[in-house]
Amino acid sequence: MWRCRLVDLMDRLVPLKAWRGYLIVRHRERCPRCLARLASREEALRFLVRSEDVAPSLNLWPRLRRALAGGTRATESAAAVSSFVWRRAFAAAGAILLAIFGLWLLRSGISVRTDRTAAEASQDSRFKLNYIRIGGEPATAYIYQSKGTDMIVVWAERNP
Amino acid sequence: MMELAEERDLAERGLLGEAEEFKKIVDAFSPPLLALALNILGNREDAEDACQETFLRAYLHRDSFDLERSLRNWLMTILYRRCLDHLKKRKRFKIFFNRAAWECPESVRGNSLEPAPGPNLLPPRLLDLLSPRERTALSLWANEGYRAEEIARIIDCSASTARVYLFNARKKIKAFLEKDNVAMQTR
Repeated sequence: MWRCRLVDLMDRLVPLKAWRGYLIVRHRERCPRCLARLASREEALRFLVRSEDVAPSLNLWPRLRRALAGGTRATESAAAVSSFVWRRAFAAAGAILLAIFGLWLLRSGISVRTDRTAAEASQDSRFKLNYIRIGGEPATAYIYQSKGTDMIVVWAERNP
Repeated sequence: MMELAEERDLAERGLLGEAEEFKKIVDAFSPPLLALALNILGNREDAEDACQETFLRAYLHRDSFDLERSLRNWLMTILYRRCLDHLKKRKRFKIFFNRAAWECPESVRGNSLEPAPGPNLLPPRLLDLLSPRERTALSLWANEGYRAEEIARIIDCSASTARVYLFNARKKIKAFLEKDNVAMQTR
């Protein structure tokens, strides 16, 4: 008796299904006192519909046969539609990917070309002085270009 | 109940053959499936619909059936899920109906949208008392003689949880019976 009460208490304290299942296996399924508090199979069957109760009046086949004929056709057409839809979807996704890739190629090509032309342009417009000599001797050169103007000032100094 | 070898033979012929061969499966398993559906749904029309959908699904997805498995358990699993869908649908309908009734002015409420109450096979109070999982566990245990492990496979839970569902159902029925007895004696 005290065990049953203890199990009840533990059941209430920890209402987890795994724990409750464990208590059922360990105690409730074996204890005659606890089993007496549960409905027996016969008692349960008083409230349940049994296979024997429904068997004589049951004939599902005619309905099912019609449904099967319709269902199979519906499934086949649904499968065809779905495969068509998938094919279209894959084609569209492929086209989009190709377009994105092409756009990316185009953009990167343009940017490479613009970079190159800018570099070439800057190369061409760059003021270049290979060497400077004063009196046949190498001299030090200072080149100034003020911002916003095209004027370049070259200052040469004889080396000491 | 059908022997396992007999069941396997029926599955092989019924599922791999023509639709007419499938009739044998329908004839053999209709009564236990309908009984389970009635015990879960408590309504004949819904139970028949659920059974029909179960057989239809089984036939259409027969390629996915593993012949090593029990055909009965496979059908029971499909049926259980169909019954849960029916209960969800019914619940949604009830919510919608309640809202519609609330929004409709009194004068418009002539023809009720609610379906006529079907014959509840479990006493209505008891039907409300037990959850669908408890009803399933109880029906499979009492009608089919299933153990917790087999019930668990059908309702997709652990054996321990199935044991709890069955325990709760049996306890509630016993309490109901005792209450009923007391009421009869006091009358």
